[in-house]
Formats: sequence, C-alpha cells, structure tokens
Amino acid sequence: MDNSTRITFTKRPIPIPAEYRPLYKIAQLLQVLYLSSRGKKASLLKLHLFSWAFKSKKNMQKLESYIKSPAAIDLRLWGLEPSLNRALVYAISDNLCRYEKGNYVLTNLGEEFIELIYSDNDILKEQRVFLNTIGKSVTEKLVNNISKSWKS
Amino acid sequence: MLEIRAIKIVANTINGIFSSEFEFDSGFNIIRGNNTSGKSTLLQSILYGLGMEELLDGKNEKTMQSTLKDSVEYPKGTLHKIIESHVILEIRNKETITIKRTVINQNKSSKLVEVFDGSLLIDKEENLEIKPMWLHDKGGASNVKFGFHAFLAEFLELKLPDVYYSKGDLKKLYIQTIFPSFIIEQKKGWADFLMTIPFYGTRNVKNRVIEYILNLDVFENEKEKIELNIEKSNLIDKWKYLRTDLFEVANRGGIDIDGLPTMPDVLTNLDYSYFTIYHENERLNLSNFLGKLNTRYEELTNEPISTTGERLGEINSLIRYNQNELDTLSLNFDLISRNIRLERDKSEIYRNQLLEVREELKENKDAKKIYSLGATIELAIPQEKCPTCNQKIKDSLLPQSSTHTPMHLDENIGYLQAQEKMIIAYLAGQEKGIKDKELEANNFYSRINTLRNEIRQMKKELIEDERMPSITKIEERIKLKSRIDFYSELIEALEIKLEAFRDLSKRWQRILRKEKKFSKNFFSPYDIQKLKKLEDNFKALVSKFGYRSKPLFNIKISKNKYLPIVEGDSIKYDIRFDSSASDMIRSIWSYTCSLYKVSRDLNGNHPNLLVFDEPAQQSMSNDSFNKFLLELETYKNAQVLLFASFNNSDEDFLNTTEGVVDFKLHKIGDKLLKPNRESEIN
Repeated sequence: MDNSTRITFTKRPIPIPAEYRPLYKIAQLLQVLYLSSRGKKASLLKLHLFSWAFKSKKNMQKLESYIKSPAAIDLRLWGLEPSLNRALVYAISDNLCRYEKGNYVLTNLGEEFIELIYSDNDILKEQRVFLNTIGKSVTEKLVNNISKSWKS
Repeated sequence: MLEIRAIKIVANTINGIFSSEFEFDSGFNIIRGNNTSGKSTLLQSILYGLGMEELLDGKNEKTMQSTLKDSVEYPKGTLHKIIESHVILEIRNKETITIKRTVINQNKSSKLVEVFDGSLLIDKEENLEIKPMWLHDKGGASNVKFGFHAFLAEFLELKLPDVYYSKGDLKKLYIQTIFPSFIIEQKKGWADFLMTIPFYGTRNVKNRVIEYILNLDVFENEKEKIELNIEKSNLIDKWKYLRTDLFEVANRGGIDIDGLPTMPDVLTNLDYSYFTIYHENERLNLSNFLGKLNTRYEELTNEPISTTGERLGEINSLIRYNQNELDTLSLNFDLISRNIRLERDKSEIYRNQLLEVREELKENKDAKKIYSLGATIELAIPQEKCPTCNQKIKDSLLPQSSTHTPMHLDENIGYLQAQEKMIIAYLAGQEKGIKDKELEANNFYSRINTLRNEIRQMKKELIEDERMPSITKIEERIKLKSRIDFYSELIEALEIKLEAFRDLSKRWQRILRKEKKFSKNFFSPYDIQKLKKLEDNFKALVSKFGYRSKPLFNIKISKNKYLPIVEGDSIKYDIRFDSSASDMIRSIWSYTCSLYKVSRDLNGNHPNLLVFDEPAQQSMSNDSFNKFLLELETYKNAQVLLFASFNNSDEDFLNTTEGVVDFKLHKIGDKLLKPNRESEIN
C-alpha cells in the first residue's frame, strides 16, 4: 500500500537584530563621523571599533574606561564585522558618505540625514549620549594603538 | 414687565452719520421690511442693547451684522466705511431707562454698557444720571452695582432662582436663559421649543426656565431632590468605609463576614449571625463558637488538675504524636520552600529575557523611525533597492546569498511585542503561583512553631516533680481563657460597629421614603392647575392655527419636560416627530403664547413681552398666519414685536393682516440705516 503522506515545510521569515538593518547600521556609523571624528572622517578600523562598542552597554563602558586609562583595560577582545563593510557600500552609493584617501567622509546629505535623526531625541539615545561623553578623544592614533595589541 | 419703548442705531462713517430710529407701541407692533432691508439687524440690535446676543450664539460685537461693523450700504451699491457705531435702547418696567452700548469703537469695549436713568429717546430728557456697567466678564450676573445683567434682572424685578449646574454647584439662573421663552429669533429659534438657550452647564435648563416662567412650586422640589441625591451618595460612601473598617476588625480574629451588602440596604436582622469562624474543621457562627469555647473552659475548670505523675503515660504518647506531626510538617515545609526558590529563579530568568526583548524592541522602533526619515529625503535603501543598479535587495546586512528571508521591520516589531506580552503574562502567572505557595509555607511555619513549643513544654513537664500539677493542663486553661477574653472583646468592638450600621440602615430607610415622595409627578395642586391650563391653551391655539399632523385628542403637555407631546396607545413622544414642518411652527407659536397666557392668568413670571422674528416659516399659509396675528392682537397686557417680510408682497401683507386693526405698523425701507438728514422716526 502506498501511503505516501506529504510533509511540507514553509520557510518563514526570521527576526533579525536591528543592527542588521542596513539603514540602521549606516545611521550608527554616520553619527560616529558626525560626533567623534575630526573633520567628519574616519578610517575603516575606527568604524569597526565603534560598531563593536555599540553592540552593548558593557562594550561602550569598556571603551570609555580605556580612553581614561589605557593601561587598566584589556581591549584586545573586539572584532571586525563583515556586515559593516556591506553597510558602508550602501552608504556610499546612496551618497551619505564617500571614500577618500583611506577614510570615510561624511557628505552633506549624510549630515542632513543625521541631523534629521537627531531632531527626535529618542532615537539612538544611548549611543548619542555615549558619543557626546567621549567627544573626539578616540583618535586614529588611539585606534592604531589598540589594534597593535592584536599583534602581541 | 419688559417694554421696548424705542431704539436708535447709529453708525458714524467716513461720509457722515447714518442712523435708524424706531418708537414702539406698548401693545402690538408689526415691523415690516423686505428680506434684505435690515430687519434682522434691527432685532439683533435690540438683543444687543439688552446684552442678550448670546441667543445668537456669540458674545459682543461678533454677533452683529457687518452693516454695523464694517460699512453701511446706502444707496444700494455704495459703501461707507464705519468709524464708530452704537445702539441706544430705551426700555421700561415700572420706570424707564435708556441703555447705550458700543458696537465698534476704538476707545470703548463692547462689553461696556452705559445706563441712563431716564428716557433719552422718546422724552429726550437731559442731564440724566449715567451709570457705567459691564457685560460677560466675571461677576456680571451677580454684581448688582456694576454687572449689567445683575442690574437688568433687578430692574425687571425678575427674582431669578438658584439652580444646580452640571458641576454640582448652586448658582443663580442666568437671565439669558429665560429670554428664548418669549423671543423667537429667525435663524435658530424656529427649530425647537426654547431653542436658543445659551449653554452654561445648567442642569435641565429647559425645565428650570419653564418652571420659572410659570412659577411652579415643583421647582423647590427639584432642589430638594438634588440635595437628597447628595445625601444618598454620602451615605453610600459612609457605608463602604464602615464595611471596610468592619472587615479589618473581624480579620484580627480570623472571622469571616457573610452577607453584609456592599451597598446600603435596609437591614432587619443585624446581629452577629453574619459572622462566622472556622474552628476544628467546622464553620461556626460566632455565638456558637464562643459557646463552644466556654463549654470547653468549663470542662477544664471542673476537671481536677492531675499531677505530672498521673499523666506521665499520657504526656509521653502526646509527645510522640506531636513529634510525628512536626516531622511531616517540616518535610512539607522544606519541599515547598525549595519549590518556591526554583520558581523564583525561573522568574528571574524570564525577567532578564524581558529586559532584552524590550531593548531589542526599542532598537527596532528606532530603526523604523530612521527608515521613515530616510524615505523623506528620498534615499534608495528604504525602498529596498540597490542605489547603484536598482536591483531589489533584502532588508538586511546578512550575506545576500543567505537563503533566509528577514522579516520586515514592522513584522519584527510585532514579533517582539508578542514576545513581550507572552513573557509579561508568564511572569504574572508566576507571581501569583509564588504568592500562593508562600502563603502555604507561612502556614506550615507557624504550625511548626506552635508544635515545637508544645513539645518543649511537655518535655519539661516530664522531668518535673511528679507531684507538681500538670503544666500543660494549666496552660491549656490559661490559653483558652485568653482566647475567650480576646473574642469577647472583639465581639464588643464588632457590636459597636454594627450599631453604626444599624444607624446607617435607618437613615437609608428614611432617604428611601423621602425619595418616594419625590416621584416625578409630585406637583402642588396649583402646579397641576397651571399645567392643565398650559395644555388647554396649547391645544386650543394649535387647532386655531390650523395644525393637522396629529389628532388633537392625543396632544398633551409632558409632566416631565413641560413640552408638547403626542400620546399614543402605549408610547409618548415629542410633538416634533411626526409633525409637518409648518405644523411644528404652529406648535411653537402656540406654546410661546400659551406660556404667556398661563403666566398672565395664574401668577407667573413672564415679562409680558413677545418677540417673533419671521414667524411665517416653512411656507405657512396666509390663513394660519392671519389667525396668529388675530390672536396676538388680543394680548392687551403684553407688548408684541413681530418682524416679518410678508413675502415682500403687498398683497400678502393685506391678506394676512385682514381683520387685524389694533397694531402699530413700522416700515423699514430699502435699507435700515439712512443718512441722518433723511432718517425719520418710523
């Protein structure tokens, strides 16, 4: 007897964290250019660092403490994220930032966009507070120092 | 009495003064003018002079027509810009006063009114005393010296009553509310009975006005009714409070209260049979319980106290028994305590999860806002297409090759919200479960303690001198005695509270009795006579004027609203429904006149003035209108002002006024306001 029963699987969409939404990630990065970079530009490495920091309160605290006393904190445990590169590609093609001599630079449209976002006090609140606290103290030099510690 | 003696309307324009003046008769006045002649302006000015413009749905100069605010048109097509305008109104009760009120004036507010102590227009008296007053601002209705409405009420000897407002406060009935009972204005006044009463939050304002005009006794009753309601709600509050108090006292002794109503009620058997207590696996009422305790105490006191030696065997087995009990209880207690800890840990895990979900939710909501802002500046990403090649891209930064489809942001948010709800519901359930278990645990704990004490006591006794009286027995007696004392005191306390309930119950009874008296139809014989007269007059007039919509037999005056209703076999309804439009107009004519007549004949408060603005509405037949005019002619004790265009037809005018002789005709020419040299007294 051929009792073939059909079993079907329906692929349902999956929930993903907000930081995997392209424009959300881009907004995160744009604010780094806007608030924490001299000349509104930053290297890829710096953007990766901040992307890691934004992942959690703990990470942001760690970065903050490191700035105050670099010797006290072990900041080797941070990583690069491939999704960030993808986000930057989108950002460039939508003219929110551009690539110039090794750095990513905020465009006028990008600045307009980030100001539009900031006009709502609620959006990206924690990250905004964090960036305002550390100001422009995360320089490219500092980022290089941190990445040097990988080599050891 | 309110008699409108004369009015003068003045407009100062850049091309000179324009004015219009009318002197009215103390009886029947017909003011005839074409539809565009400014007839409405004339009536509005009279209302304005009395400070009654709120009947036209506004305050101050807003309600006046542009012909008094912007420019005068004279002759047709030529406009003259107005610099200043005002209204002078002469009225009489026992004495005569003249009121001057600004419409437009750079230096004077339209809220200001000047009252001249005499006749400025008709007798042209000189050197009159002028009193300035104001309108509409706070206190205008109560300040007799400077508030115009308060002054007017006193001048007209109105004796306005105090009435209840929607906020529960008691204040004077505003004078503006009674005017719509005798002034029927063209724009809105013909829509319903007493239609143009302005809104002040007066409770049941139409009722109050009619009760006032007819001077019904029931008005006092209404007031008492409201006061009774306040008393009622006070008592309900007291009852609830007392009940909570009673429960609190009863709980001290673990006593349950059964059957005590939450709302006040007439309680016949208020004793402590309402109270029960759980004793030795039985639910007893309080008196039985106390009885049992007393009996047991008697038994104990009558028993000779055995010595320790005599009781050795008994004590030993008691100790063993209690020890077993204790072991079981301890085990149960441990188990349940462990259980509680486990559940608490579970709750903690879920609480952390809830925090995470909420964080994610916030991020997603932020993302949503970012995307919509991005769409406003027309970025390509929110539209899910590649900015360079315009191919469709998935809304995620996962590798494009990944076979998973991410949810849309909205879906994602919905998903997280559902998770949040689920966790919250779970936590709530946990909380309840834990609470219940904790209660049980506490129960075990106290029983364990009691048992431990008893065992200790018994063990002590075992090593006592055998000749000593058994301590446990003595203790049992003492404990029982103190329990009896405790409950006796408690019962006394409860009794006192019960007394208060009995008191409230009696007061409640009294209130209910009073309430019955105030059933809706409690009118004095005089009131009943007045309402009957109102009904008879109404029916007679409405029939005289040609009403056809409903048989006269079914028309009554409602005892609730004092307004005309149609009474069918089992239902009553407002005469508005089912009357033709012109019949509704006839009803308003009849009702307004009937109010006056009943007041006139049976000592009411009507000011003996009737004003009708375009009463021939809804294609009224000339015949009906003629009957109406003939009726108005008979009112020798009242002043009537009737404004009408008579369809702009001389023929209609002659037809409608046929047989009507005793009236003064005022004609408004093409335009109301004329240059001063031309204006004459009409």
